[in-house]
Amino acid sequence: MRKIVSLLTVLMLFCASVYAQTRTVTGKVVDEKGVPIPFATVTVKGTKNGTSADASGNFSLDVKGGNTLVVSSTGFQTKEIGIQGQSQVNVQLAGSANLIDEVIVTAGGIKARRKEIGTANSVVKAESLTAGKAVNVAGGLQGKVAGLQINATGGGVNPSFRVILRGQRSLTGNNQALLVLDNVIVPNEVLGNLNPDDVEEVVVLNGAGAAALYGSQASNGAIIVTTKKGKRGVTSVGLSQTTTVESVAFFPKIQKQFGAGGSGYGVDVNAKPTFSYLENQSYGPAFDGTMQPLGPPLEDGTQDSALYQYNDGHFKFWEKGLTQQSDVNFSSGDDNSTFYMSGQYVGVTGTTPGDKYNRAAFRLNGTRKVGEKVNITYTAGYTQNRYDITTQTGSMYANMLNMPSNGDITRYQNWRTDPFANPIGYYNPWYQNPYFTADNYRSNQRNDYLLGNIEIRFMPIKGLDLVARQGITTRNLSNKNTVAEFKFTDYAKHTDASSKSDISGSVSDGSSFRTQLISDLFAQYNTKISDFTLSLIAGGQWTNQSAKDVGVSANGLVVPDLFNVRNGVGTPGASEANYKARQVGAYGDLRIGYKGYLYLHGTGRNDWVSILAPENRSFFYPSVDLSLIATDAIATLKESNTISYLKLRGGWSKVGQVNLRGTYGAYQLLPTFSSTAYGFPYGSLAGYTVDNSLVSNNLKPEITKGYEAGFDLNLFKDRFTSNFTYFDTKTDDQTVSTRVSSTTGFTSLTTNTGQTQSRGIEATAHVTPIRNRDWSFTIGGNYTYLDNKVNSISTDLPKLSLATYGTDGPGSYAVANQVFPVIMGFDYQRDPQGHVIVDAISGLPTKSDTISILGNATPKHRLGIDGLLKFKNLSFSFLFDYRGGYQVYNSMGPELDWSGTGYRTAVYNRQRFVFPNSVYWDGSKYVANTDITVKNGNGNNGFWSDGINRDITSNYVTSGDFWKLREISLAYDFPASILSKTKVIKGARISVQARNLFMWMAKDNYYTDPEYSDAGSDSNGIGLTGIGQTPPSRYYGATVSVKF
Amino acid sequence: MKIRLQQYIKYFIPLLVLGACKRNMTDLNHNPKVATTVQGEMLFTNAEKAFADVMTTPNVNTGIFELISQYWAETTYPQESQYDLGNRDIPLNWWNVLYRDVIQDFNQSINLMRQQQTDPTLLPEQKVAYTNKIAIAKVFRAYAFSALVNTFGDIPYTEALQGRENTTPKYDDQKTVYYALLDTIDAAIQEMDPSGTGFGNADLIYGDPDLHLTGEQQISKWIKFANSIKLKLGMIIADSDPSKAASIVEAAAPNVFTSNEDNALLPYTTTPPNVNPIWTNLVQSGRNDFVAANTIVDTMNARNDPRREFFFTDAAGSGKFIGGVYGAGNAFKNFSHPSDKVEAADFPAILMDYAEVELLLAEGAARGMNVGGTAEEHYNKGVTASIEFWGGTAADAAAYLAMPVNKYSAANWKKSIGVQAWINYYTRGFDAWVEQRRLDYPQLKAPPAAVTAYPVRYTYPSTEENLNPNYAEAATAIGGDEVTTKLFWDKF
Repeated sequence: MRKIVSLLTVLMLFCASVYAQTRTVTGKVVDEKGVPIPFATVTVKGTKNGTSADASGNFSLDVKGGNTLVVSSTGFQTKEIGIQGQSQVNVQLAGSANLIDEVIVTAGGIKARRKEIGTANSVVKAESLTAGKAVNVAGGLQGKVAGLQINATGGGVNPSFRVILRGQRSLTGNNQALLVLDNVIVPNEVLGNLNPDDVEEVVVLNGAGAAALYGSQASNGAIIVTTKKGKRGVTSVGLSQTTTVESVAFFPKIQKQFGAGGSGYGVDVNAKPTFSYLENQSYGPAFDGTMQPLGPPLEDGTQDSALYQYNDGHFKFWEKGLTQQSDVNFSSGDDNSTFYMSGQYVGVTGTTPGDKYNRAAFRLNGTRKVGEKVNITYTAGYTQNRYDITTQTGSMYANMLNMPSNGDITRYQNWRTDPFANPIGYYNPWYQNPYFTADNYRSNQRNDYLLGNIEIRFMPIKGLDLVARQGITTRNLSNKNTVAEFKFTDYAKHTDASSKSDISGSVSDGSSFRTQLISDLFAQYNTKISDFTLSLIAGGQWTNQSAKDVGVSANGLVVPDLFNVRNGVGTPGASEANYKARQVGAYGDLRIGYKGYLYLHGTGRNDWVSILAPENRSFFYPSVDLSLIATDAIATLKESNTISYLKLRGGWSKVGQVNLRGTYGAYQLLPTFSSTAYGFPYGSLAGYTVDNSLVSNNLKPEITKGYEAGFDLNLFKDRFTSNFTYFDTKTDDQTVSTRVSSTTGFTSLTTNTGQTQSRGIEATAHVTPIRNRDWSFTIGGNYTYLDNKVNSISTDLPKLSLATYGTDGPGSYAVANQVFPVIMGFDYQRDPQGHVIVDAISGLPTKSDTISILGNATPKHRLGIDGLLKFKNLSFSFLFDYRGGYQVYNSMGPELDWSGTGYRTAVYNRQRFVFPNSVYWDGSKYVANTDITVKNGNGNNGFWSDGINRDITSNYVTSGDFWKLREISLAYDFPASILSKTKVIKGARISVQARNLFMWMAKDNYYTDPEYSDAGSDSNGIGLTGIGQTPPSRYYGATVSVKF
Repeated sequence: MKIRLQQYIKYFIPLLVLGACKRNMTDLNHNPKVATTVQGEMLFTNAEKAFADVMTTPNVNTGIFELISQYWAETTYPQESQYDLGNRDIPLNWWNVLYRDVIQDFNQSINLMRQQQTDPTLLPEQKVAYTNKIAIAKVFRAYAFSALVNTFGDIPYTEALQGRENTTPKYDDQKTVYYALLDTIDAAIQEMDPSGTGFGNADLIYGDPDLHLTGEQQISKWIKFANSIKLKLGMIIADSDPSKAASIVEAAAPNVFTSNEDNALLPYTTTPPNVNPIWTNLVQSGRNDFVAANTIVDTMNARNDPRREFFFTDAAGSGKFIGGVYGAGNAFKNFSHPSDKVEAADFPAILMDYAEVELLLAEGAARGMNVGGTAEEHYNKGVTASIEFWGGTAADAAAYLAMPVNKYSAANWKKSIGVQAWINYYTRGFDAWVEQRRLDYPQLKAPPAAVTAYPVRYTYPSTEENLNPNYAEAATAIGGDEVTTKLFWDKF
């Protein structure tokens, strides 16, 4: 990395010295009202010489061999200015006819003016995307687009994100938005392996409109990412450095009054529970500040001890993370070609002790014009990331929670040298030292991504483009998981209630690749016939996917800490799997425009997929949409001073998506036999078992049909902009793997059944109340209302488990006629009025026999509020994100209550209490309970650690509502007037920014970030959080960037 | 311009004609790395192993019969000893393994071997071998089905194992199923041809290379094993249908095991993965969940039983055998543990042994059936065989039988035989549970903290209630889906 930087510095100095001999022109680019236009392109006409203005519109250009500047910027008309002898020039650009005439990249890489598009779309520009300096592009998009829900589903050094547009359609299949990078479909994980600084813009197509050109995966909407290209006549080098600190933003709420022990050890003369020097559960007596022993004496007679008082080690356990992000880019261009290259290195240490991650990314993009008729575009990105993390985040967290706060947790960090921290001498016989857990169970993972595409556009005659495009995405990964051997002394194994037992070493090694090749070939023909414009596209797409996974493992190592499978005891485990899938699509796309204000657009596509049976392999799907620019079509509106723009739009589409399990859904149709379930081979003897999955012999794609309608409305010369969309889609023929009675010989049956529905509103509005020479202020937001539900599953399957804790246990379920998904779990037995029924003697409630619906897991309301305030060269932006109207099951709750650190466990001061809002049966009726207290108000043999508390899911189902200050940033751009004196530096910016700086959660949520998903980012079983996710973090840091 | 455009289109369109791709696509969707066809023998081998594993495993999610039969007590988490079946879905896991892994594979193995037998290139002796193999698989399948009946009562039988042809099989009456199984075993025994061969090494029990049996000798062993199963299953209905039981037992008796040499043992190896599930769950897991239960230890102590040292360790080096309190939590270090012998990675799964057969014959004689010999003779042979099998000597056995408490009591033969069967069934908790319910000795009591009475059956798996609409009818038919509902043969 360092080498490249110095190389570029040399290159930059060389360039500078060439231009230094000529005169310098400085100036400012402003709009009709004098408001600066940021980042306008300024070139000297007829030369390769140029620059771009800074964020405040200031530019400084060394002019040589020409006297005319060409100034251009998106949304404005290009202007040429003569500069005879001038060294200072201010340029005023007239707005384009309308901002909405802006050209964006839509499906298939086809550029379209936004006004022509009849379906909802949003554009996020580079500046907005990187305002918070998120390492992951998904993080940078959070809260910015109506209809787009991005959840960071876990913590850690490289959090995973789940990206959903317009709710979930498929019950058990893929619901994540299609990701398209430079016109080529790429897997979602690429979002986290892309340098956000390489992104020029992100276009979000909320509906299924892109499906004709991208194929059925776009039924989930599409996120179209375009990376930067060099600009004609502008050569620049950019360097930037960002340092970000990560710290835990929210801790589970814990009780601070009681330490180790519990009523299981009996009670003292005052009926207080007894202290235990061994106990992991914090159900002992109230803290009294005395010195108390911890654990049994060690073999050498020494004994650990601590003051019996509250200690905030549970919070100090998590460390401050640090992210260093270094960027360099170079871009250049002339009349025939452009060139962009960049490099980025990100180094991360996380909040979990010892966890590390780094990512290096390189990109090379370019265009080349060959003669008048051929344009070539190429992009190539290479990213490698490296993880060095613990595999046991959940156990580590649980072990940490099971340390009563009378011990100072951070004191146990040096387990290799400190005898009390060492597992042998560690005081607790049942739970490991969490620092040891983190250190002893490790995973190293390496991922290398190569993303590239080449496009040749041949324009043989006017109006006709022939385009051939080849894209490749390939990922190579290898990982190694290790468990170090640990041997306990006999003394440690057999002293007191020890359950310490030797940990045998193990190692597993895996390696895989995933390669996707996509070829596109299409023709586009544009023509104009009197008042009509016609644009016709016809083409085909070939997709080839292949993958291979190989894994080996050994349990038990001959030489400790030699992590080589060859060093294993016994027969090593080994596995291999290969996958291949192919898809061919043929499509047509026709757009007819009338007088520039009415556009009718229709698409059709037929797919053939290898993963379905021949008779179901081919399926067709059409779409149609209409766009009317009322402000152009209707004379009275055209004249209006209030309404500057009004577009009415609507569309209908049908898309089929094949959702089969496994990699690419390949090989799911044929029954197979497996050999490993019962340990085969036995010596050299083969044994096979019939696989447990049945597949319907008539599997079909899932079909999503839906419509959307809306409008875009701008007022007061675009000082107010807004758009509104209503959508309603239904998805039929859900591919569902239902469970079947094992008496069939199988346990699951994959078949098409059921319907989901997603409908809602997406609205965006922004207003710019102030815009003048020095000041501008824009504020606005986006709002999404989502009604996502399951209409039916099948007659004999009223509910379908998506992600559960235990078979048929609490979890996230799809249930007919309910929100998709709902949280189900155990509740207390209740009387018809909903009061909890308690026993008339013990005061104890009872658990419900079956699970019931306890909440809906999909936020009904989402709101993003963003603002941008600019004063001269200072700009300040913020983004708030709200979600509401949903619940979440916090599965860490039972662990917190088990350990006795849970806040709930001390709300009655560990005394007997009357179960709130309860009734008891007096023999003939239910009577309100005012005086029957639960028989043991403590834990460790009392109420709180008992199943009657912990097994009741509803105790831990809380509101998921939150507000987050998602991003806040303050940036200063050095004015061109200062920079021009350096002759070298064209732009410089310093900024401070923060992400997720504050979060405000529902009062009853004592646990963690409801954005998390314990089921992972690929599961539709949302609404569950757990102990596998570290506490949510805030990120804050500073950036210096310089442009030469 | 028009003409030129058409030319371009003419060249372009053929690229979109995609029919040619279709053939490739079908080939593409065949998984190259998993087996899509196998030999029936391979399924048999797997089913045999799966059956041995599930009958032997003390995993708290699947096999808690060592607890129910009060051989072991638990340490920290005594829930299973207290008959909490639901928390870990124990009935479901037991049911699933038997239907999905054992019976399904036996069934498919029979179907495949029937097809393989029609191969015209087979030699006559190969055809005979297939007849033998199919008969063996049928006996085994019936034996596995009997475990389901003896656990649950009514079960899906005639409509079971039909895959997507019938995803909600109806339940059949337990007695009807049971009698059909007896008929199947009878018929299969008739089909076995001792002059032919069978599975060879693909049979892990008698094909074990260490036994050095010829193919024909293996079939002879299998005929004995099949008859021993017939004897055992026939005896189970002795209370509910004495005359049918007598005819089955009397027919089987002359052809059953005659020494420990005949025992049906499935060997395990010293290194994973084909190891004794007791080792997996007690040693490899690193867990200290089980200690010897006071119920059996006290019984054996009272009888000065020489098998104690083969069953258990002494308690904390005291030289004494002390059991933890059954159904309560126990400190691991204070009590006797399962012995190194049964915890050994290569301690075999015992599917049936000679001692058990002799005790069954003793019972037959006690019940007045014509099994040859007296009840006491069979009893003494059974106890001796058991002591010798576990590691004792003939002298140990003689001394043991000389103690009054260990002598056969004709007046209380159910107790004499029941207690000895129970001791002999150590590590085979399921078999012990069946015999205990039948003979009502030893009298195992539910612990004070038990969530139900002593279970005389398992409740149906929770999934049956959710997935099979025939569940409700079956629950009613047996008299309620409770652990206290007695099975058809459980008359006392």
